[in-house]
Amino acid sequence: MVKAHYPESLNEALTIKAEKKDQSLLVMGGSDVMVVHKTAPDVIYLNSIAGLKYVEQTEEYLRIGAGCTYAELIDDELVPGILRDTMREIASPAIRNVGTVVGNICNASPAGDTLPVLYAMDAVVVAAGMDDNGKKIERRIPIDKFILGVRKIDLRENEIVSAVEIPRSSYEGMTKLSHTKVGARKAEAIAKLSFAGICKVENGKIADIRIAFGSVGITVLRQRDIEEMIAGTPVSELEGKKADILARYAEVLHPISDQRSTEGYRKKVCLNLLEDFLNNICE
Amino acid sequence: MVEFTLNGRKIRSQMSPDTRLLDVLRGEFGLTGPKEGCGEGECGACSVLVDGKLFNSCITPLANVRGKTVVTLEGFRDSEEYKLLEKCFADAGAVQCGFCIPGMIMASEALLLRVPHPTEEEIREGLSGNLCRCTGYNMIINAVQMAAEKGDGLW
Amino acid sequence: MKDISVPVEKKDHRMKMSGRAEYTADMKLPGMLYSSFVRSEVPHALIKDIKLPELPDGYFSVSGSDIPNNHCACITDEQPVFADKEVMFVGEAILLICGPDEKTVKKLCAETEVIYEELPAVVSLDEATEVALGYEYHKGDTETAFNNADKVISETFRTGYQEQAYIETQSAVGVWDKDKGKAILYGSMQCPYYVHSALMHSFELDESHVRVVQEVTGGGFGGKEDFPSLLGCQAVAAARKSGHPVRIILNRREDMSVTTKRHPAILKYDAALDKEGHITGLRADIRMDSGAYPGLTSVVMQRTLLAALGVYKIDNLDVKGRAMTTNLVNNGAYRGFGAPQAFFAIETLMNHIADKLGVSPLSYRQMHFVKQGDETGTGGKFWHHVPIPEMIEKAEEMSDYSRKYAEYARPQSGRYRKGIGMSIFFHGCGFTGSAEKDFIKSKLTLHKYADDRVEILASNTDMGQGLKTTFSKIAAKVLDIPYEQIIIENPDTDRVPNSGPTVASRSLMIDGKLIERAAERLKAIWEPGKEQEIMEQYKEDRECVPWDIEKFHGDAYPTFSWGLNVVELQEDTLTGNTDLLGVWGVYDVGHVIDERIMEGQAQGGILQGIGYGSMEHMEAFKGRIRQNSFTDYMIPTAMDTVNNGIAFIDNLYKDGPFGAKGAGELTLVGAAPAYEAAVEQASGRHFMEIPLTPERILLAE
Repeated sequence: MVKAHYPESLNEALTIKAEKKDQSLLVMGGSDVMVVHKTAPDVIYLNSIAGLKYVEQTEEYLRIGAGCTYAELIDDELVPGILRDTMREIASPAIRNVGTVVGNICNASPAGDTLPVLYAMDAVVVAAGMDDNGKKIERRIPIDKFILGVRKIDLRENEIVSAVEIPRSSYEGMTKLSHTKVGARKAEAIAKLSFAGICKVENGKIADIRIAFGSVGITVLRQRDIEEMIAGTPVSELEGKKADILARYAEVLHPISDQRSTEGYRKKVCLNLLEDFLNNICE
Repeated sequence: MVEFTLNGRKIRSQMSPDTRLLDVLRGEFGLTGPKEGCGEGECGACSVLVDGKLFNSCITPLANVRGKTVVTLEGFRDSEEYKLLEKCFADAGAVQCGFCIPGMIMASEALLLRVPHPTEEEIREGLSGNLCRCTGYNMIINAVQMAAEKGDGLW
Repeated sequence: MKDISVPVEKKDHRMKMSGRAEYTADMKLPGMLYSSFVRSEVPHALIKDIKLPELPDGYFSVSGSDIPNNHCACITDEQPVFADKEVMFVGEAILLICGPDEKTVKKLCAETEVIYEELPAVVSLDEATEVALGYEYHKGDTETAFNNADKVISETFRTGYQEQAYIETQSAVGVWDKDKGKAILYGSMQCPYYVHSALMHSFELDESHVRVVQEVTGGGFGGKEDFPSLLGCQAVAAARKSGHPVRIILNRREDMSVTTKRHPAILKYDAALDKEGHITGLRADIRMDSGAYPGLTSVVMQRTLLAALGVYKIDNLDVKGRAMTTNLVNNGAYRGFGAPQAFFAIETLMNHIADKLGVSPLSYRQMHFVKQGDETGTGGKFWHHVPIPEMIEKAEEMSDYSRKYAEYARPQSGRYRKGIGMSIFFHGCGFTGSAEKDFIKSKLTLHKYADDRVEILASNTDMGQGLKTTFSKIAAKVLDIPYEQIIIENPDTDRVPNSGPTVASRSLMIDGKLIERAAERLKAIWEPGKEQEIMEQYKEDRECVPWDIEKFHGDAYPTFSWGLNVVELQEDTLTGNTDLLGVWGVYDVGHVIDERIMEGQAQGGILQGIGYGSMEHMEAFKGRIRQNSFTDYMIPTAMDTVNNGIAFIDNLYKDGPFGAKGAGELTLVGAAPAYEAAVEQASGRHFMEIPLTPERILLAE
């Protein structure tokens, strides 16, 4: 029988984590760990921590607590529409009642449904820890540095992810926010691939553009170099640059074939969706 | 040991906290409403309500229902709402092999609790985590629609 | 009294609704043990050694040496109950480890090491060279037809696996009655007497020393036709060894990896056309993947070949089929039983030829339809009315097919493109050939109790298709007593005679007729308050061209059920995904015994058929089923379906009860080609393979 811990505050959870370190497993909704029958001698069940269930806004950030389920966030108008749409397409109602956006990040699956949008929005993961003197410390890690590979994350053995922060500038004032999940059916589908595109057109120019692809590599693919190349382009000149942009992405997209789809399909559809996004950037 | 309320009764499970809730319900408490169809949260045959929300008991650790209220079909089947669903499911011909049905009923109840007058699209979405291979989806959807109409005020 | 078609509440409705129905997994017997399999990890190898971990007290393993005759009988008996010397496919059972704790038996299985000497393995149909079995038939003079052809069109079609995906996995509980030396088996199954025969064969028992009881069955679709015989032998072997009841429940991934599926097939067609485009000759050469052991393959293939020319009258035929042995999981029965592969091919071929000739697919079909009195491909006869014209009329009225076809045939632009497709098909009712007369010889009993309730004693099972209800309705209607006065329980071979297996859409037509006759006889002698019994046995007295399997000639079926599907959809040209806009089915199943039950059959069959044609992709990769879970094998959800329009054509069949014919399988057979045709119109391309996944639609496999 495992030893279960039911901390009621983050501090309490951090105290247990600091003591049990890698002998312990953190569980929120449980939908990912239960499927793979993952367990540990000590399991820290986090869902009694009311303090992790919040969505709040600062001037700069939207902050989503680790306890917020998809179902709760879908109904929360503070959460950007594109992220809520992404969550509406996750699995099924029962999964959305337990799954959390922080859990989706920490599970670090290449097919994590919220990840392309979070990458495109430069989300920041907040990892809380307790130092040797019992003092709470926080690390703030950009999501693309936090997720290191398939199910690999930059989380230390005394840390717990307490929240994810999304810069408000990454969605407020943006003129186009687009997300497409391509799955094999209309519900309960693991993404064959997914696409997120966010952009701001200002004074006839592309002032900001972010493009991310999911399920095409070990982590979400986002190419800042190509984005920088596009940024500043007058919309009227985009058509002329399109072939070059697509060719550059074609060079960096290296999906694989597996039980859910094929390399060729993933790549082709990624480029189709990107092209469609570029074609309709002013809509 | 984990305490929770099961079908209106405060109970205590002796099983390990990381046990699947489904195994606790079926194994320790002898309930046959929740069923195992896939064991990975895809088919919904194991659906139960936890604090009124739809959960897949096959991927819910026992620990996560500590202090909560769990309702299986056994705890629902004496209610007026159930009786109406039973009639509507019969009138719509919604039950074939029956294996998905306890889960479908719990998903229907969860939906109607949240949306008493759902559109067809909302019903399809509300039941989208419950696989029926027979497959009476359209007849099940009709049944839920009928129940929502006839049960005006029940939910 | 109301027409028999008027729906009633199903016999098992309340029990299933309330969760009180006892499925095999709900059974609890005193001292019952749990079990788990050690299965082959390689496609083909000799077993050199098996290293078991130390088994705690109360735990034991079961192998082929525990069975008097380690062969599982199902048509043939090549397949061992447990592989003992050689494994032939990944997932083949080697040992069953049993004991009081479920987690512990799983752990012991994981710790068991099997030492293999690997042998060359055939892991795809393409590379298979060993013919397991084959049939062929010829009609007319194909050579002349091809020599004189104005045009020859040759196409090769491929169809994939399809998994039955019943929501209740395969399960059984074996019991050994030591005092009587009797094997008892409870389980989820379609055919109690198949399991009964298999147990007699493997344990060398006479029929009075075997008892098989069907538990409530959570879907079968063919998947619980033969596999329960194997599982039953395994469970009884364990019970016999230990003296305890032993339960086997496959987990989903195990079930999808090791149980039988629809046969993948490669279907090569050549059509000879005259100047007007008529098909004057047809050659079909069909290869199917039998898997490691043939099982039901011979009968499946017979049906494929009989469906190879579709609903068309073609005078010159060469039809040939071969089932190939591979080192892959066995294939077997799935609703439609070989016909869906053939109808996909012939219907798609008709569409492609029409397109090449520049005529509409419907008008091209109209040049070839069979009608009553025509000869079948095998020299039998379409004895009864063929209602294709009425079906087309009904389908046009419901779906507006021809107008939409013309509209979508015009050039389309934009991201989403529409298409509509039609398929027309039949299903031969009941067993293929003379099995009903020569092997099954169905018997059933009506037993009237002193309280005037009447029990139907038959071995047919209700697996969700509503058989308890339809059987009861027939008896009640003839006896003119309330439906509630009829009793029908799950079959128990100690109580019921052998009225045959629940397969081939035969039960209602064949055994329903026996119930009708028995009820007529019972009514004639009915004495209130008295216990009475009537037994009825199958007799064949209809006019027919006798079936000869050696020559593959004659009437393979007593009659045919007919179907027509229309699928309308839009394709997303960026992703290749489709949205269904409308699905319609028009069916002739004789006279409908219960409209609501038949509606359920039609709804289910169509959606399974669309799944087969679209998203249900399953492949063996290096000998292993790759999509072996509900996460990776895609069956439609409630969001993937639309409100299907269903209609029935009343076409009474005099040898069926109240005019009913076979119904259950027909509903699946034509959906895949209709789906494919719709995608072809939307995308403007021809395709040769199902499932027609978005990967295939975008030519990006």
